[in-house]
Amino acid sequence: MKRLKLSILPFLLLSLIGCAGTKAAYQQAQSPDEYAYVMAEHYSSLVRQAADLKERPSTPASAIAAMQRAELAARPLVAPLRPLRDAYIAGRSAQSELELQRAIDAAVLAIADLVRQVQMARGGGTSSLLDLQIIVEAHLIERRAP
Amino acid sequence: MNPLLLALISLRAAGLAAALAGQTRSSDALYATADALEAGRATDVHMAEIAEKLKTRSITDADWDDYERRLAADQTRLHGDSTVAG
Repeated sequence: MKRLKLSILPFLLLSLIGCAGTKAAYQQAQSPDEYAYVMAEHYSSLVRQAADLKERPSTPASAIAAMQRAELAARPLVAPLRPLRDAYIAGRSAQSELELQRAIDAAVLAIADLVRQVQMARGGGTSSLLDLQIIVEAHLIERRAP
Repeated sequence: MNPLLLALISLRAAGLAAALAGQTRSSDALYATADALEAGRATDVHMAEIAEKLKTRSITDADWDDYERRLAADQTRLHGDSTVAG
């Protein structure tokens, strides 16, 4: 019974963490350039978590490798956000907005995969789904905005 | 006190108690849970700061410069020097 309680404990606690700050950040973004910034910062905080987990002796090598692969896959999709944001800010043209939007579209799933890998390395399950849900919902909200 | 901080302190205290009682596996599980909670908390705190920034002002080039600097440092920590150029 004690063993059962201990095995359930991490998942119960992780499900209670909440993602209020992450959700608030996505909800605060009012324009494509702000949305790109929130995504970039979310990605950055995930890379920091992954690096922290790598430095912990208890993190399995397979989990570290999975996080590294996910980060390398996301990197070329996140990198264009800033130059495209700069172009959008400079010109505010429909074309530059479209290009920034396309870059955001391309980065969403790669960041979601990084979320999953980091959460798995942390030993959590439920909150990874919550994080993913936040990203996708925020993305859909952003796309519906005029 | 923040409930999450209280949970972290409680978990680590319980982990220490389990270790002192010779229950190594229980202790490891409790410490690992505390670590996982803390890692998730750090991201959420950071994103809450981003939300607050967006509420009060526009995002500037300096904000992006700061993001790029932090990201490069953490990418280096994650992969080692060999995979991060520039």
